[in-house]
Amino acid sequence: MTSTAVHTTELVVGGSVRHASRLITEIENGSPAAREVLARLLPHCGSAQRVGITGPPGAGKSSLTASLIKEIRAQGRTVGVIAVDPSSPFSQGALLGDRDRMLEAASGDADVFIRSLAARGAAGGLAVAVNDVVDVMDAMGKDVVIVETVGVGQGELEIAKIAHTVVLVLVPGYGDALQAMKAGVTEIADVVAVNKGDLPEAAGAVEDLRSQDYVRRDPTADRTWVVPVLKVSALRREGIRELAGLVDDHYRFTGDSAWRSEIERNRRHAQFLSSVTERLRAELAAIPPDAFDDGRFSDPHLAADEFVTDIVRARAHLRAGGLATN
Amino acid sequence: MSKEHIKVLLAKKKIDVHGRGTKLIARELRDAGMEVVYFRFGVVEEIAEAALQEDVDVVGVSIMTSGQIQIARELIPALKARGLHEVLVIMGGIIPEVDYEPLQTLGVHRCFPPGLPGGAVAEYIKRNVGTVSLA
Repeated sequence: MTSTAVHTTELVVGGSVRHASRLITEIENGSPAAREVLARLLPHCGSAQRVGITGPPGAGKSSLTASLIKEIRAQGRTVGVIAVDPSSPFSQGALLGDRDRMLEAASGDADVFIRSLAARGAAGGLAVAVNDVVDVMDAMGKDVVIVETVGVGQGELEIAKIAHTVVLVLVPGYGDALQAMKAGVTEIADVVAVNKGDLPEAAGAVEDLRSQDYVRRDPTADRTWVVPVLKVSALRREGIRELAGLVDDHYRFTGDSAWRSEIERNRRHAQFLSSVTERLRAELAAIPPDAFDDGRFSDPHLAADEFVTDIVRARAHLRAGGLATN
Repeated sequence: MSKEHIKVLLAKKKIDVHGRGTKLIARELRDAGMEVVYFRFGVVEEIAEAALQEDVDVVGVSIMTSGQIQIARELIPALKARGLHEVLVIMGGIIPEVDYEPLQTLGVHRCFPPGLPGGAVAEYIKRNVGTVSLA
């Protein structure tokens, strides 16, 4: 198994789309073999610039992503794209339509790797696998990795824990909903793009948003990033170069202080939490109910509380050398 | 063989505006629990490249304005060249029955005529995914 993992790692780092692609499927399915490869890929990660694209359904996230791909490719940089669409809670099926909108930007270009993922019930606007898939594309050597979320409302903020820069895509006429979004997704935006800028209402929407004076505070230094609001048109390819420039500006800005390493640490922490949660869920579900609280669960919360306390204590004990080996 | 998450690439020609059938099938497969990547292709290589990047189990091509023989002739080798030897390849739409045999000789596993009862394609995929290889 391990020699397979070494081999797969080499192939993925070497840029094999076939092996990267299969690995991503295994990550989606939570396979233990995939975890072994991921661990080996980590030393090859860390050079990719991660860009998040989020916004409500129909704002034009995929079309804008397509325009960004073209722009980034024109600069000679390679691109990986992870596009997430929702899964049906009833059938578990999904219709993944983002690729269709990116085809023009990607077709025939071996340096663009697009992968569509179904959210598979994960909350937060992404799929559980996304953070790991970012690592795969990073290790493959992609200069830029773009993550496109599902169409979001207010509370899908997971992308902020993954991307260096979050681009919030809105459309003119979103004014009313915008009110509702004030306490949510606008707080994680580093750049706001008002798409469909060819519509007459666009100028007003941009002004409205600018008057909100969105800023992001650097948690590690006494300075702020003023969130730029930009009018773009994915359809007419207007404002795309400026948008790409602002994304790079923000990336450099966070790199000028300890902010960037804070972002990296937060991402790894989120990855750790999600990994623990997923694995514990799987391990626990495999244990018959009578192993806990005699299987009666007269007070399920108390039973859970005792169980978690046991785990934490046992771990503290182990760490203190109490049970030393294994 | 049944698989927990079956992923299907559903492709139709970009210049072909007759999209109703493809969308109907896309919905049928989604409702059968499959993850369906829907996209329109310009050249056949794009289908194979998308199948590679998406790591799909099934490639379905919708045909409305002919060209099926040529598509199959290019598609099967393009899939094999990318190491996708176990992909189930199906076609559907307006395909004359006389073409079914030559298409199967070229490597297409199954052709579906229009007017099938709902669920037929999903049923076929569930029964055959993971059991085939491209000769």
